[in-house]
Amino acid sequence: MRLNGRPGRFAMLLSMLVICGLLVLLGIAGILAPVESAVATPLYGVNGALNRLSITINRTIDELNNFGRLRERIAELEEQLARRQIELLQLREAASDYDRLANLLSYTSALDEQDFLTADVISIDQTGIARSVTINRGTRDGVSVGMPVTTDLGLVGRIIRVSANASQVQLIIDENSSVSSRLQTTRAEGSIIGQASGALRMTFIVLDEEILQGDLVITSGLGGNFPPDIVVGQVTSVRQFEFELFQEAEVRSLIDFDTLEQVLVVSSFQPIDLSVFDSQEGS
Amino acid sequence: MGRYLSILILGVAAALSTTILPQLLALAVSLAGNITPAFGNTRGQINLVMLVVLAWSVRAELSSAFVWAFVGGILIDLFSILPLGASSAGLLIIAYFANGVARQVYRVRVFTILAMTLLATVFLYAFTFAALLLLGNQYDFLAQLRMVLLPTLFYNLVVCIPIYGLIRVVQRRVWAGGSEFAGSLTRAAGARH
Repeated sequence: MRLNGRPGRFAMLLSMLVICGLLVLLGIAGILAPVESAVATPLYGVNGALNRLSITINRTIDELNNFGRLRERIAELEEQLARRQIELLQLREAASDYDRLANLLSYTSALDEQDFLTADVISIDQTGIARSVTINRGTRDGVSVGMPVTTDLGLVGRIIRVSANASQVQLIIDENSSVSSRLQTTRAEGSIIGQASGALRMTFIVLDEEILQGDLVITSGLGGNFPPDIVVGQVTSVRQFEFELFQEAEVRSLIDFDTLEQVLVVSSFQPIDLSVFDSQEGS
Repeated sequence: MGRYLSILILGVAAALSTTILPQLLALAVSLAGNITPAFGNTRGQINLVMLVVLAWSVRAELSSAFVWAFVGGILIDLFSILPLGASSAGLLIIAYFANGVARQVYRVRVFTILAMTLLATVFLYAFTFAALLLLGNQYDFLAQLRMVLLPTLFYNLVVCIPIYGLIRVVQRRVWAGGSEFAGSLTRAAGARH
């Protein structure tokens, strides 16, 4: 079948593809960042508003759908709350002891020193393959590549691209995301990797280490990409095979990544570049 | 006028694709997942911008189709991790072939639109996947195929006909008295003789 009658059609396609190729190269080099910001600014505003609207609609439908289950859940949570209040009292006691001792040692926690920047999520990645979101903070607000992004429920991801007034965040559920983590109770080290299904898997846990179901997974700070002690998720199951060197754990994040509305950028954290050591080893 | 209209229509499509649609689909998937596990954990998307570009390219002049593809691609890239211009290249190729096929057939039928949507979805997926690999990302191909491509194909095939109908309405209104319509008619007549 002859798809085109005039040679001009194909030439037109080729010239347009060349323009796209040039755009890609300029984009990768970062030259287009100001133009990108200028073009996207009105869209970011519209997207932010639409995102908030859709989250509201989504939550309402979801709540209506789960009305029956919500009643049971409320009863369950009330019971849990009563138990947690007792634990809270004990923990407050422990915290006051800790504060006293920390003051004595002039010790300040790394978390206390961190600065956070609130940002609205304005869009979700359109490719479907990569898992990222766009937030309405950029270089003008002091955001830079590599900064961790969190919510009150735990780690969301890290900044991978920044323009003047927006940034792209690679979510921890992306297949290319890797976060050095440890289990809170047993202190076993591992690496949290995103799965195609949107789940999380903690890998490279030494076979000897004990993994408790329900244990919290927190960032370890190893590798210098994330600050330590940010909650990543909770262990839901363990995979252990005798013929493998490491064991794995399925981890569930407490965050619903489909309905992210607001996030916190850890603006005081700068990732540590360890690549310099690689080059020294090479030479 | 169709060229300027592209910014508005594709802008709305891109905004919907990055906000309301993914959340509604996530909700639909979670509801469907309660009924049948086959839907659980899938995360396909409706490629609204691609479908609009495809629908426009079927009846429009090639130059107009290229403008829509270029603008559509830029809008996709503004909200994805792909560099600016990458999706435009994929959409330009889709627009070129959609326009070429439409010139060759006597009448564009529902089956033609469905077949074009199927091929365009697979092509754009493969194109995006290749672009992400070239950028240094790594993905599990089979898992992505099952979790992303197959549901995306399903969603796109469901909505492509209504979108085509909507775009036809817009085209008729835009071209009623416009030069593009006259040019399109002349071209179509020339192609048949």
